[in-house]
Amino acid sequence: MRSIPIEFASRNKGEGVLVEPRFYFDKYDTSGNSDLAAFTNGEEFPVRLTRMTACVMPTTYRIEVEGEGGDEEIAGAIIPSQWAIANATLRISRLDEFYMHEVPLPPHAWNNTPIAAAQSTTRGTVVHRFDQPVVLAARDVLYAEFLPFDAGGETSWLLPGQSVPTAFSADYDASDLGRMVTAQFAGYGMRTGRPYTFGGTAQLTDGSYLVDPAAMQNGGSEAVALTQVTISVNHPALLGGGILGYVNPALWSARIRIVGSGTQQPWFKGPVTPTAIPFMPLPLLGTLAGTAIVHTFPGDGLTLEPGDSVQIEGVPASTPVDDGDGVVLVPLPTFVAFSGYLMVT
Amino acid sequence: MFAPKDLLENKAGFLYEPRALWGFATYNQSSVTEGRPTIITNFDRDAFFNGSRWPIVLTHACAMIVVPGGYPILTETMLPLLGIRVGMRSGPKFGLSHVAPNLELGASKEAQTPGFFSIGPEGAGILQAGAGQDLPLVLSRSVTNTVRWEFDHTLKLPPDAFMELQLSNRVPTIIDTSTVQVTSDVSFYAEAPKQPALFPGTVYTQQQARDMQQLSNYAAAQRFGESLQPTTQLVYDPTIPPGEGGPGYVPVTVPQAFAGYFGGPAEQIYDPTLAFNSREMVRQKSTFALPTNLKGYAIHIDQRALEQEFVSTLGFGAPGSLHATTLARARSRNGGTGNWWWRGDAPTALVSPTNTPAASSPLSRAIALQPNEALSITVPNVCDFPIPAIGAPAGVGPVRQLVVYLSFCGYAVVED
Repeated sequence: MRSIPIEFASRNKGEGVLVEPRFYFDKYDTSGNSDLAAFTNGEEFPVRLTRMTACVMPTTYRIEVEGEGGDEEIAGAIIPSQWAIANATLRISRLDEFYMHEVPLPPHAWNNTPIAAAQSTTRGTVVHRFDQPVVLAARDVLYAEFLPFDAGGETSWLLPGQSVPTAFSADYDASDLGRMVTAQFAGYGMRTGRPYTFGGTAQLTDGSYLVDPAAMQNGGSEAVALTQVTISVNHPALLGGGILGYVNPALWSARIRIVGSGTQQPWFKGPVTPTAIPFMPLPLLGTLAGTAIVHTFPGDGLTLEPGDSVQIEGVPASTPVDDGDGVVLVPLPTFVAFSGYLMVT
Repeated sequence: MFAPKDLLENKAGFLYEPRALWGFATYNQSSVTEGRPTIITNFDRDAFFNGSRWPIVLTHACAMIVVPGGYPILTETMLPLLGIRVGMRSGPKFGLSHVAPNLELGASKEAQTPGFFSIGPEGAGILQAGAGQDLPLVLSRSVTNTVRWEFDHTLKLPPDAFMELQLSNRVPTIIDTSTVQVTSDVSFYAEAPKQPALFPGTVYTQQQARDMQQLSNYAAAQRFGESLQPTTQLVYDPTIPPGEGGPGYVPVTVPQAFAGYFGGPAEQIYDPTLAFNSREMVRQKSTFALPTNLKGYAIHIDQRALEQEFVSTLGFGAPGSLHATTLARARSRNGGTGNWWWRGDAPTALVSPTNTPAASSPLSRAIALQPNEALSITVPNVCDFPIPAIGAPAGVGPVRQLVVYLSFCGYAVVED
């Protein structure tokens, strides 16, 4: 039998009998990340973190302004440029030591990994190459679910006359929106070495958009070593001749896991309190191509033993909104993820 | 004398200090005859000369073309047209022909992220203007506008040694941007110590971004070595035969640098407040008594407000990366050689081969220059392509001018 070596990170090979991707993600404000335990390894196996990604996400806002008849409220939704993250600063804290610096640094100081895809595709594509191949055993199924940004019916005050894309906007049928997300996993057979792909477009299922599990099952007789995942997003508005700005991974969040062998756990672990966020912002997945700030840790990266934890501290990004009297800074949800892999020993 | 292996491998007993050799050639073209007659100023003969006491190993080449005002907008289209000839001075050339200086380009070295709506720190103008339309490509140039150099070999800084990196103020612009806030900051990245540590390394950095003032027209022209007054030369044009309306010569005018541009108040090229200096490093170097291994540096310029001002005022267009016109010089102090890492004042884009808006090519085989050796780099004396006219400020008229920058980056090998 031909043996296919599994080795991407040469120094790390053979450290676990099974590896699974892990992303720990959370948003943060000036008092730290929202759930201090969000970046904690809560499993019974060590996790090696190799990268940190950061991005800003869309948000809704309400501002009190003085009107003629008393205080008035203006509300709207913002789809920020990724440039907006330049206003943020952050540091990683662990046992009262700091990385990379005691003073929180702006994201560009962290950005040591260019991830620009071609101009024609970078707008709507997110690619993550696994640090080590992920085994999809025979009969195992990949579950890839997505949630779009929901502006809660708000129309954007900053974009007069236009509604921001919501999951349930009257302009677009919900099923149309689902068809705008495509997931694809690539790998090779561990016996034959032949290439495999698993993928499909998402369909509205019980409130989220799920890629048909039937298309994501390893129905063959050999285990498949998955090497990378590519998520592509689009938007119905574009099909109508439109608004390229809505083709944006930041309008989507994702949740992925393998059902069958392995730990069965979701790959992305988010905050639980005060607000549970089970779906990870999609830009954070793009460590090979995408739109986030990507920092690759030098050397072997960070290892989180079971129970180990890190925190994020700093100032989140903000964007100016004109309230009529002047500019008000509206904080943007600024998310950070640590990515790596769990080593089942 | 060094053995070749000593130059390429990281060996104990040697100090590997970053170095860059760089130069520029200029093209000024007539606008009266479709632009063929051209005044060409070739690369300075000593621009690529190793005048130090130590060998220099060159591992990367960077090329960049800027137009009046210093914007590198034509690099991608003009670079293939321009030929350079590279070789050793007093020795063979590396090729028979002139080749384009985009030698071995790899994938994009600049992190590009589309800016769906540009949100500057000054207001929400662009957001409103840009609603519902695809914004100009220039707004999607880069999310971070950061240049980086990850050194080929780590730089060993002895105990008590410090880094110094000076940055220039910014150049004049075709609209008045003197009050627009543009900031920069500098980071040096250090390796983790050999001993077990919680984190893999650290960084020394300016702890807050500093304002870049805008240079006056005179100060900018002086430092950039451009003409302080317009000058005109007669250049022979073979397309105008004698006796048919002209003697065969046409006037070519080298315009006054930054004529018609809006300058700022700054007369000082290098602003002390922009410098990363020993005081910054002392404050941050907690392992003061230990040597430090530096892996590289990054320079960031936050020019979002500048771009927003351009789009708001003109309704289109934005300047290229300020890394094309922001000058820098760097050296170690109180340790290392103490020499500046490159001659004169190179644009930051040319001395940051890892991540730069210039065309950066790793050399498949490093070039070693012993002391007193030099690269001979020339462009042809004849320009056989038309240089496009670039719009200039009102009253000045279009200018057909290119400046071709070229640099080779690597390291000096110093016996410790």
